[in-house]
Amino acid sequence: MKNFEYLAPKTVKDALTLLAGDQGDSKVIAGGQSLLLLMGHGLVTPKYLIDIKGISSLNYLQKTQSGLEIGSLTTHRSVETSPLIRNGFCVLAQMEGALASLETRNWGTLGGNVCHADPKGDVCPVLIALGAKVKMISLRGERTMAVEDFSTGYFETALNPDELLAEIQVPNPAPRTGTAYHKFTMIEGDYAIVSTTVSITLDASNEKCKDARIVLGAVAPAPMRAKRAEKVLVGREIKDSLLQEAAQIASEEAEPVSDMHASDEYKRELVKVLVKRVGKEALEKAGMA
Amino acid sequence: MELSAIGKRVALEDAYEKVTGKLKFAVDISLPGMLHAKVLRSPYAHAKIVNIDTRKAEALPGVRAIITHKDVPKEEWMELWLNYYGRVIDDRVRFVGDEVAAVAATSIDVAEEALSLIEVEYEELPHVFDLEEAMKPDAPQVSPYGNVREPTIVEWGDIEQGFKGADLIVEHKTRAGSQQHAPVGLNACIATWEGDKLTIWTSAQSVFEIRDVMARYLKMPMSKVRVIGLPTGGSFGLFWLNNFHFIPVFLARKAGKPVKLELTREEIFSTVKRREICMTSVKLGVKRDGTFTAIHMKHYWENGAYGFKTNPYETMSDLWVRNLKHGKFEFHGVSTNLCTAGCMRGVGDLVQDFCMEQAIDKAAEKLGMGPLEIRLKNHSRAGDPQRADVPFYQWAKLARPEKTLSSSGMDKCIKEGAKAIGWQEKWKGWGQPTEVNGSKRRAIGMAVSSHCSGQRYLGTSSVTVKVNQDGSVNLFTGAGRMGQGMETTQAQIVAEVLGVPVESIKGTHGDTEVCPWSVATVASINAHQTGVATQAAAAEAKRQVCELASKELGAKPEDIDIKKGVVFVKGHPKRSIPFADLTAKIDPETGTWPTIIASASKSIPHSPVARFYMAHFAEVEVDTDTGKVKILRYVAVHDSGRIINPSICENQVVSGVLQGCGFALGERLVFDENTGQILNPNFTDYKILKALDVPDPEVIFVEEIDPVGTFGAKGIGEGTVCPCAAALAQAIYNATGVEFNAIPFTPEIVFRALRSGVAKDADESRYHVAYLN
Repeated sequence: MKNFEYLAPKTVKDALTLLAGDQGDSKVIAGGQSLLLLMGHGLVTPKYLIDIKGISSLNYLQKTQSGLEIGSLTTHRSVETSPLIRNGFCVLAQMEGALASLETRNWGTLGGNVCHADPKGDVCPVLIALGAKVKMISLRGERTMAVEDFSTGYFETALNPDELLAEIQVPNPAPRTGTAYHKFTMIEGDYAIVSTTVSITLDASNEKCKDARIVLGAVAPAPMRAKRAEKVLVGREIKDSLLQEAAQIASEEAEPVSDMHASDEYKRELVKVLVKRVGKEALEKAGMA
Repeated sequence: MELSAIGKRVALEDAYEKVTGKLKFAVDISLPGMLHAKVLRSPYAHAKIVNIDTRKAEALPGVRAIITHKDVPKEEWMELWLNYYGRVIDDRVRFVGDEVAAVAATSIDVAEEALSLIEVEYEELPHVFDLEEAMKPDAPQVSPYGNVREPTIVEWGDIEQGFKGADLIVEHKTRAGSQQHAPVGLNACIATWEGDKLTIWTSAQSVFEIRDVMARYLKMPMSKVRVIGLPTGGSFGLFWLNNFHFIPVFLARKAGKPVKLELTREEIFSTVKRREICMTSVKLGVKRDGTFTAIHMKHYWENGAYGFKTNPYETMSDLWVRNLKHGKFEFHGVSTNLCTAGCMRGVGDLVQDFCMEQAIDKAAEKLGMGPLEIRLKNHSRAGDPQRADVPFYQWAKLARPEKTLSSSGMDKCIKEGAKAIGWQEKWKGWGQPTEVNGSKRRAIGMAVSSHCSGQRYLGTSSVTVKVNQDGSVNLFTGAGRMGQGMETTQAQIVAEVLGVPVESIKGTHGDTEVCPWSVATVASINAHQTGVATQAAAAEAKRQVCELASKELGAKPEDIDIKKGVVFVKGHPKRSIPFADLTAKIDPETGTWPTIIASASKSIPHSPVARFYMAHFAEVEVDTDTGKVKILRYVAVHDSGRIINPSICENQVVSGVLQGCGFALGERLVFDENTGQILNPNFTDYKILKALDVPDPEVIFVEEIDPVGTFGAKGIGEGTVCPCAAALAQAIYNATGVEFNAIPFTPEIVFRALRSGVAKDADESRYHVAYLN
């Protein structure tokens, strides 16, 4: 690992001042679960490492009228075990429970995961399905953006070098909404070969699909919504055959590439299977919500 | 026999140090003034070094020594079991990652920077990665001695005759990819020269092998080479003497300072050693009643760049000999431009067993027999001839006595396992699932295997036992500590013989200057074979104590016994003295405490020879939509003779099942098709099964007391991986009707095979291709 200067600001303002000062040469570290691996391999070689772990004001998870507000330094484990996510957000626990190992979840933060923007990551696809937003702050002010727009590509985000991800905002789900997540892996807790999150909102009659989100992970440079597949579901009564149709379309929308673990062809097949299975689970949850 | 220490769940001697992180491995060693080494490695699969210029690197402040092929002996060194044969650094590189030069500097950073300043001019040469391509006469030659070794052959009777007598002949072919030992710990070697004496600290399972081979190669007296063997964090064959050990030795001599070389995870995965890629075929002749008449096995494997094995150290040729009048087992080692391949847990037997078991299954299905029945009819029994080590005796030009098998609990293994898994209820016939639920198909499968319990020809171990004046005991062996629990097992043997509590015994193992010579910790050797020497040393210590007690208690030494720390006259328990009181008594004649020190050199006999046996039963669920195989239950029944420490042995079985099933279902090194470089040299891309991936295996021991081994014990550690792939493949076949004959069967491979209705033929499955497209 290359040498770097370690800086540990105690307040948000100090952190933002540092970021504004040495643009491009610094890297923010929180739990370090992803960054340290990259640094170990010499893929990321920052001059300054700004450790924000000590800024306690960014570590919170609270329920407001409009939904959940999660400080970017909240650990995966805190999210996973928080009683506040039980109502309407339990897919977060489902996702977190399969994220790496307990040790990683104890250290890794939600904000760090979102900023790392690994296309195989667990967090962003679920946040996108839930319609979540991120709040970014800098000395210049603050802005919010849908998570869907935040992940822009392979390990790339919309975050400017002087900005810090401060908060993740998850809106309350619409009534009769069910969301489910599943990833296909070689071993437990591993990176996804393919992940699928499906969110389904039923209409007042509890029969037809009012709204749907299908988010695919690990099959494109960033998590992607299978929008054509979503359209197949909206306005119709969801039956197995309809899910099958949506799954087929989603697999065509996916843009997977072959790697040593799975071919692109196989990943498309997995998308087909997962959209069907996860869609069914989301539908069942929506019916009970 | 009433036993006090043997058979007990004694906690590991080093458990406290381990769980508190205090146990010292080689990576933890630091010496005053120590330099750090880094190795420059070849970017080419095969090339000649035309020129190498180290001047710029030498000029870098902090650099203390650089070695290239010009600084090491012209001679090759040979690993004791032929896992390496080559120069330490040659002017020709033979795989991506091969050593080109090495730097010792004041810090790792400086050493790394110096590597980037070394200028090397290569002349690329044609390379060969594929096992079969490498065997062709016009293939690029990797080894100076050609690519193809003389085969090792174990043969008896006349197989043509045997096949003539068969009602059915089945032929089967399998392949297996390359598995990494993938231990959690890192390899490291620290070397220092004081005058003409060399001291090495390294985590190792084969301590005296390192000392002996190193001394011979350096033309030094063995007395002046000290190897301090430290524990390994898992080893599985990886922590033997490897080429990297020599690098700090030469650097330290040149720099005049201690030098430490610690390999990175990537280097461990892609430059030291791995399991070989292989191809096996079996032709099996069977009578209508299921009796085997002849077996012809051909096994080919690639040794990578510097492996030189001609013998796979197998026991397959001995496993099915009950009725077998005719057998021929051929073993062919081949060189390729891939990372060196060598022994790994279950060497030989795992991959050959996979082929043999599937051939047996084919025969059974054709004959309308079940898998249990055909195996129960043919497996070897005590007294059957054993011939697997014939080639060694021929090679060493030693007279070999006729050898027979000492004991076999295979019958019990199969029957106990069948009972535990509910075979009668769940076996629905060949290719028949027990349950189908949508895309999920469940079935059971089983396989058996065997492995060697040490090897007599590896040598005779020596052990020393010292009894101190306070009654505490020191035990010295030259064995390697690789986390398997040998320290505890050997202490239990001493406790049993000497009649003292196991807690009073402290072991020192694997320091060549302090400990007597022992065979390396290989071939599942310690409990069975090293233990014989430990038992003898402890018996001699007991004899000395009894002699001492004879004056004290007024009885003949042979009438005295020791139990639970009390020395007493047999039949008169009140005529006694506590062990520690006896050893603390000052002898009025000498004015000092008694000196009790006992050593023994002893091994197992040449014959009968012990093998250990196992039958594994798996219940799986195959998701036919995704190809993923989930293990629902796993029953592992082992005949390892008497179990000295059940906890230790259970751990061995559980870890072996994870490693064996991991190999079957996904573990494989991926080689770049253009360069042969290993593309997944890390735990992110090389997937090993973990605790959550497999339910806890149900471990059962059938304690068939062996007449040869220590207290009836046989080996256990290596064989635990052997039957896993075959058992899983049979279960998958029963679940889906598709047979997999190439390891591993990853989800995608299973998925594709299920779609096409046939498994990819073993012939089409080569393992040097990067991607599956």
